[in-house]
Amino acid sequence: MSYVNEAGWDRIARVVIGVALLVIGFSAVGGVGGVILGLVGLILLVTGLVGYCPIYGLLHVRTNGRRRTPTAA
Amino acid sequence: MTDTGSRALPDHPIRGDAAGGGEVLAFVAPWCGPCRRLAPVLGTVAARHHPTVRLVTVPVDRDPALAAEHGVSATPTIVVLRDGREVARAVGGVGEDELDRLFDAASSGAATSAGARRAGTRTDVTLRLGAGASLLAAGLLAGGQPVLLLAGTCALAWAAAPCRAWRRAGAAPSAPESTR
Repeated sequence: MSYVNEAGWDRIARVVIGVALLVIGFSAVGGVGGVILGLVGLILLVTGLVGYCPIYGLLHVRTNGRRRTPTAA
Repeated sequence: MTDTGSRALPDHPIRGDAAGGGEVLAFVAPWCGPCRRLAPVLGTVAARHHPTVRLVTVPVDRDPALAAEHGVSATPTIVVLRDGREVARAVGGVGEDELDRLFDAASSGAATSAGARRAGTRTDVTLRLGAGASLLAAGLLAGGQPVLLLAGTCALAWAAAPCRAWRRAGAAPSAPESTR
């Protein structure tokens, strides 16, 4: 989990949405639903702060720039 | 550091165009199977990062002194230099993703190696500070919600921690050109 595969806009969006979900989940909603919202927010927040999304890594996707050119055979 | 120029392995031309920014030295050998497999992928990645990063291919049989200077004991070895300082290294066959990360390190100067944690960049610190402050503020406004306060404190601590490591990494001597 050492490398960045998220663009700047992706990271900012994750952090903002993650913080919002955390706040809503743990202060407004409460209960099981609130915990679930909070956990989703926490995951988004952490992946945004780190800059690496494991799902992106598994799918070999990155939002931070270069389009992959076909490798010559 | 001496630029020995680019040498192409047979049937696998590798670009060695000069540019500003970082350099990637690829120590290879003509008898090395992994080197032959790496060559086309290396060419593709080098073209993608051209002209920001300069690729120099060094056949170890023709320039053993340079290989020894950089502590190369196996081929292929990729050494990433930024402003004359080594910032990353990879030994053995590496994939296209790893090569992209190495070339990124050459252009950005961020130290990286397999398994190593990347030092905090300005974007990282800003995001962590912003998230930490927001969570702390929200926690206080919510009447001292402990989860939000804890998350905010952790984010702020995380923002502060890599700064010290970053400064130590920058101050640490790194002399790839020194005699070994």
